[in-house]
Amino acid sequence: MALKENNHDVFELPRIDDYRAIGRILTRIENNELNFEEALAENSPRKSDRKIVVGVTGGSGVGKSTFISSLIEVALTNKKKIAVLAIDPMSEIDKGTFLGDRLRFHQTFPDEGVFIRSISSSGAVHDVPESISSMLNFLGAIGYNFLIVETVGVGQSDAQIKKYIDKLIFLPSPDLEDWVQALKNEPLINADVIFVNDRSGNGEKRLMSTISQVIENRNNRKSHPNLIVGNAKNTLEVNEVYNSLEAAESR
Amino acid sequence: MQMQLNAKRILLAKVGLDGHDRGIKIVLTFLKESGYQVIYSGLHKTPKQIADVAFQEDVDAIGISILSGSHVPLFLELISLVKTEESKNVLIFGGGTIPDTDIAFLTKNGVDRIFPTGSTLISITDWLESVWTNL
Repeated sequence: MALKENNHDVFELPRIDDYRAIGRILTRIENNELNFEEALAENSPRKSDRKIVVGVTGGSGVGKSTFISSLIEVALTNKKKIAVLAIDPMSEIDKGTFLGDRLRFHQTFPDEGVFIRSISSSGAVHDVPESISSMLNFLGAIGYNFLIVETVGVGQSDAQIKKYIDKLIFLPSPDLEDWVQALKNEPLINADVIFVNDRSGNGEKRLMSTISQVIENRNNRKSHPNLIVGNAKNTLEVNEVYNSLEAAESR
Repeated sequence: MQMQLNAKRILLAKVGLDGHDRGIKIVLTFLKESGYQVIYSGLHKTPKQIADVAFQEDVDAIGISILSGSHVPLFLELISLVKTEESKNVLIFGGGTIPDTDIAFLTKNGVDRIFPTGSTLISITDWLESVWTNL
């Protein structure tokens, strides 16, 4: 499908496995050299599979990338076409970024058709950048139907990610002290799924109880978030999260 | 709220059986401190895996570290995958235990620069800057 850009050049929507072309277009979207929605508006795209966009957020070191790796495995067995945007914050001191999320994913994912793109974000609160939305639309248009956005949930602003995604999965820190901290945590409060990463196998009862109390007290939501405990490395346990996403989608 | 516009992206990779990663982690840290966006592939990658990551991430340069002795076939395979007609100017550079005769051969066959043992970190960023400023 050819898309017009700036009324001049025409470019083809790339094949889903043309990593080079996809990568280049993502760069142009990121650099504001291409307004994807404008280009798309001039053509009506083929109807594609309904896509779901899942956000995964939580503090540094809670196990987000490990969790995502398992989630990808589950989605692959369900024959999904998967793309991941992994966002890491730029250093305010040296302006460089170590884009280290992809290290935690299985090496074979690109061989299996999984598209992974690392993105550096900057700004005082490391917001999810506006161009993320265009990148997601573009990936959806070429055929990816299970999209994952990973961010470091360092503050209230990360709840803004909800603008761009269908479902938010939050991984709380095991150090979460009490209900006060839980209630102050915007991504936790607004999550669709809260996944407690139980690394030690002890069930994380204290943490589960603290979080349950806080979410049960909420008044402004029609439904409670799904609170699931499991080991992020264990695909069977992460499968429970996947099923809850699918169930929510078909409602 | 801003994304970095037009910041250079560098993929550092360990290819093949060599598991010595102390050097590449030092280079990684230095490049990040110099203001680049740095992606690290991890150990034991094939040239095809490195090429796939380079394409998905649309990197501006790939830096390979090899201390195993198999640098010639591995670099050549990577070049055949990455340096094609449609490729923009993706730089391929590297370091490790690479003898002078092989350095000459590799740079004639598509590798943009080899930094032999003893090279300074600053020589890497000086070179990258000089190439990118002159484009």
